[in-house]
This record gives sequence, C-alpha cells and structure tokens, in this order.
Amino acid sequence: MQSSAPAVRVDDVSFRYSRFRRGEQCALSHVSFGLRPGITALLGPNGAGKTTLIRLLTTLASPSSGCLYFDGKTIDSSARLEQVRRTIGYMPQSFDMMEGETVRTNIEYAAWARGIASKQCSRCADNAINRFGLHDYAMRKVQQLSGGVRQRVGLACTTVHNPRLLVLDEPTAGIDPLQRKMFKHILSDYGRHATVLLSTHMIEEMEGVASNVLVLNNGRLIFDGSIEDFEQCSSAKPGDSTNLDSASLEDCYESVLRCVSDNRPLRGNMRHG
Amino acid sequence: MGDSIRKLSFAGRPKQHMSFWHPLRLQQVTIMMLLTAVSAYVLSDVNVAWPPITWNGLEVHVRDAQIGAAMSGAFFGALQARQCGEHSVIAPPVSCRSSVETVGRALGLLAAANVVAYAVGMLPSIMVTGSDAIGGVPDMLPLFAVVCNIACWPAVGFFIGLISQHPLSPVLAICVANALIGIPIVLSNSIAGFSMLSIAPVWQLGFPFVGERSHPGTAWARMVLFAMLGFSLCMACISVHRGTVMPRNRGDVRWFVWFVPPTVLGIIMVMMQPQLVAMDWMMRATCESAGRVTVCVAAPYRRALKPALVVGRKAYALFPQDEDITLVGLGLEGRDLSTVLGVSSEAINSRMITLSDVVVDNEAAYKQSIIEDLAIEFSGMNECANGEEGLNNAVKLRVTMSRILSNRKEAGDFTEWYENHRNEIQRCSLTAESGI
Repeated sequence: MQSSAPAVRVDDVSFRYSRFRRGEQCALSHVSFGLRPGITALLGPNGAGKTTLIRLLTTLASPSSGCLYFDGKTIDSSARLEQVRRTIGYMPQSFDMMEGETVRTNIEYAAWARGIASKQCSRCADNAINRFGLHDYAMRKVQQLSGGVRQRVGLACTTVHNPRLLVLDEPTAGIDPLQRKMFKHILSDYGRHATVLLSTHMIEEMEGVASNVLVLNNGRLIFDGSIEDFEQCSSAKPGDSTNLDSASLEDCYESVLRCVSDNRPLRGNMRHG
Repeated sequence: MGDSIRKLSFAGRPKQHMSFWHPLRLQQVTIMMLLTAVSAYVLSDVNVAWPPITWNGLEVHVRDAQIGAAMSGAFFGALQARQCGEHSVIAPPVSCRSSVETVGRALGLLAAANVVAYAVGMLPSIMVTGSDAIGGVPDMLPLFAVVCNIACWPAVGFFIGLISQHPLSPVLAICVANALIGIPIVLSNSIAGFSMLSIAPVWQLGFPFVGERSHPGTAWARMVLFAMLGFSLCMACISVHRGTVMPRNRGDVRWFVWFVPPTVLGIIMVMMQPQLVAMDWMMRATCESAGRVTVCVAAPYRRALKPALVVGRKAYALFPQDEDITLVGLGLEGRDLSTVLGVSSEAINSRMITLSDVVVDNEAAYKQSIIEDLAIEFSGMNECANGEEGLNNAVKLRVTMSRILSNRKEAGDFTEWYENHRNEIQRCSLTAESGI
C-alpha cells in the first residue's frame, strides 16, 4: 500500500545560472511542492524550467536557494547523496546504451552500476525482462531495436534497481502509438508502487496514467494538484473528471496557461506566480 | 518466448553471459585503435621506402602509429565518457556505484591523455627548434608554434570537461581538438623530415638536430593542406561516430565503420610527412669549400657544415679523385640543387655525393657516418659490395678508414696501400690476401 507522505519535498527552491555577459538567469523561482507516490505529470512550455527541475530532483544539480527533502531529509553529505541516488531512476529523453551489446547485457550492467550485487544482477535482469515484455529481444543487440523497444529497454535499465523515485523525460517521444500504449501500460503498472515524475509536452502522454499534475511556466510553479483539479480549473470546459481525454486535458492546460498570462484567478489548486 | 527465458536462466545460456564483465567493454575501442595504428605503421613503412629516404628507425613507425592511435583513442575516449554521461541509462551520474563512473571516465581520460602526451611532447622540440634555428633569438614562426602548442591546453581542458561534465557533442570535441593539435604540426615540421610530430623529437634531440625557418608562404600552404586533411579527419570521425552509435540496424555501414575510418586515419597521419606534402621552395643552402671538396647543407643545419667538410677533405686526401666533389648534406636530400638558393653553379656541375640522412647522438657519430659513406663512395668499392666477400671487404675498408682518420700516422700507409690496390678495388677483385 502506498504511503501518502511525499517521497520528495521541494521547499522554496530557486535555481539561477550565469550566462556570459548576460548576467544571472533565473530558471526556477521559489518552487515548492511534494511528490507523492503515483504518477505525476510535469507540464510546461519550452523554457519553463522542467529540465532544471529534473536535474535538481535527480541530484544532478543543487538549488541556488531552498531545500529538497528526500524521505524527509536533506542531502548533507556524499554518503547521503549516494544513499539518495540508490532510490532514483532517471531516463532522459535521449539516452545512451552499449549499442554493440545485447539487451540483457545492458540491463545486467545497469543493475550492477546501480549497486546490485554481481550475483543478483542476472536475476534482476530476468525480472526486468519479464516486467517489460522483452523476452523476444533479450539476446538482440541494442542497435537492432526499434525506437519503441529501445525505450522499453531504457526503462528496464532505469528501473532495474526498483527506484522509489522514477523521473522520465519525454519517454514516448518519437515512438509509434502501439508502442506508446504499451509503454503507458507498463508505466502505470510501475506507478502503483513508486513515485514517478513524467515530464512531457504531450498531453496525451499523461492521459490515463497521471494522478497528479505540476505545471511550470517561466520558472514558476503555476499548478500543483490532482488530475481532477487540473481538469476542473479549466473555465472553458469544466468536464467530467472521471472521463478525461486528451482533448479535454489539452484544453485544461491551455486554460491554465491562459489564466496565468491574463493574470486571472484560477480555480482549483492553483498557484499564483 | 519461454525458450528465451530458459536460455537466459539455465546452463544452456550463451557463454558471454556466464561471467560478469567489466564496465564498458573495450574491444571496440581496442580494435579501432589497433587498426589505425597498424595501418599507420604499414603506410609509414611504405613511406620510409619512398624516395627521398629521410627517416629511419623504429621511432618513425612508433610515432606514425601513435598519432593515429592517439586520434582514434581520443575519439573513443570521448565516446567512452559519453556512455558514462548524464544521458546514459546504463551508468548515469545518478547511479550509486560511483566506481562505474570513475572507471568509465578514467578510461576516457587515459585515451585523451595520449593526445595530451602528443601535444606536450612537441613543446620542448619546438623550443629547441626555435632557439637553434635563429641563434637563440625568438623568431615569429617557432614562437607562434609554441603559442599554438599552448593553445592545445584548452583542447585538453575541453576533453577533461567533456569527460566530467559532458557539455558538448564528442564529435565537436574531436573536431576542436584536431584543429588545435593540427596547427602546431603544420608550423613545426622541418624541411628534412625531422618532424615535431608526437614525442619522437624528445629522443631525437641529438646532433645535428636543428629546426627550420619556413617561408611564410610555405607555412600557409601547409596550413591550407592540413586544414583540408583535418576536415577529412573530422568527417571520418563523424562517420565512425554515426556508425557506432547508430541505433538502427544498418548492416551496410558496419564494414565501413570498421575498415574505412582507420585506413583513412592512417593515410592522413602518414601524409603529414612534410617532405611529401609541402617542400619549402624558399629554402636556402649554406655551402663551403676546401680544395676540391664542397659541402652544402640546408641553412638551418649549418652546424653540420664544418664537420662534414673536415671529414670530406680528409677522405678526399686519402682517395684522390679526378674531379670536384660536392657533398650534399642535411636538409638537401632528394632536392634538385639548382632550385635551392645559395648553391653555386660550380657545385651544381661537380660530382655530387649525397650523404646519408641520419640522426645521431653527437658530432663524432655524425662524422663516423660520413666516413662510412665516403669510404665506400671514394674507393669505388660500392660497385663491389655484392656477395659475401664484397660485403666483407667493404666492412673492412670502413673499419680501416675509420681507424686511419682518427690516427693520422697511419694515413700515409693507407694511401700507399690504396694506390697499390686501386685497380683491384675498382675491378672488384680485392681479396682477403690483399691485406687491408
């Protein structure tokens, strides 16, 4: 059974980076939210700060101000950092594997790289192969795989150590609808027992899988709530929250962005930037 | 499907999965580096046999092979680093086994270090070249070469940055590094083939190692040429990169990836031999005469002029010839002397003898090499140095000449012996009983 306590809490986090001759630029400004078990969709236009937020959540970068709490604790030492990293899985939009090696070898290696004992790597790889339906591809080399299968292998590598926090950046970009459907099925299954953050441009990617939604715009968090809240916030189309489709979600998203740009009050669980 | 699982789980599993393997298998890197190095070595061997012969010795092959290996090594170092980069799902930075990252990056660093050694190895030779060539006063060209050499450091830093931060494409990294490393190569090649490539000059700093002062036109011509070569190299690297990381099943590019780029790299490396790609047409010669002997060397090698003249004059005294002799020395091998500035028409019209282009440790060894050349040439024995007996006689004559030239008292005896046996020598009928 899932715990309702947030696995990750982001508390008043800002992130600024310097640009040569352009001074400092704020990528994230005073962002606060908690990631609870289940699948959370991270939405936002280009340049909204999604990638920066992902880098912070995956410990690839440290915030300029504010704090991140993993299981209620901050990262205050390298030992703690390593401990936290054991609980994270991160699949970038485009990723590298050993192209000349088989799927199985890649997964075994990913397991070993994530701290699993050598003797158990094979078993973990078997589990991942079963979980992601990769039996027919286990002995194929990665370079021979189609885009969709490659994504599944990537997800298998990313989750082979059963991370409690899984961060996915546009995981279904560029793959066909059938593979996307299969991927979503796998993802929703995984989301039953882990905290998943799904960064996406495509509303239909979150349809039917995401239980929570975060919307970033210009480095600010403008929405943090359930999928039902997200749907309700659309003044244009207050639809049936139990029957959300991609068209209505698209409307919701546009409505949220429009409200923010018009500086109008939002309904639901809105944040005012 | 079930069969697949059984295959994976039990004893019938393919052998490659029986044992756990080390991080980021290196066979691809090794094979590519090996192929490049071997092809450069083979081509270097061909090149050494190609007139004019200016380079001898294993170090030439080592150097030529090393360059190719360094380049491809750097390339694969970047690829290796990339596999451990932020965008990897097999060994990402979020991995908890930090040794994976460390090992992967260390491997990349080692490969890149080869390039560092290559760039750094040029620094002392360029300094020596610069100061020797212009008598201790800095000259713009070698100075510029030093500056460019220093400019390699950002490339090195870039590589380290690539390995630690993965900021840019490895292909771009290769292109930048190649360009930066290529410039000092262009500027520091010497006319006689004493190339400053790689670390070879570090052990080639024997007498009469000096550098050149190329005409700016020559330097520019070389730069254009090397820019083209560099471009080809980058294209080859990009081809390798695409072929290697290509996620799709493209069997047609596999042979290309494993065969063509190493060969192209090897050819390009060997083409960087300066005497094949860009002669310095503004080169000057320095000549000096004593009696009927004239010695000419390329101006940067003027240190070699006096020793050659001393030995030449002695040898001429021992083996009187009926004509004027011009000894063609360092830097002028294979050149048409009529196109070289500073050579008189008398020298051009005289009998020319080209001295071996060898790099030696000291002046005495240099003189010795000239003695050996002249002993055979002046005595006429070079016509006879066929067969076992002929070779034995040639060796004996060399030894005797060497002994005589270092001890003037025996010179009179040898001259007498030579006069008595001159006909035998020239008829190739010298025997052991002749009593050398």
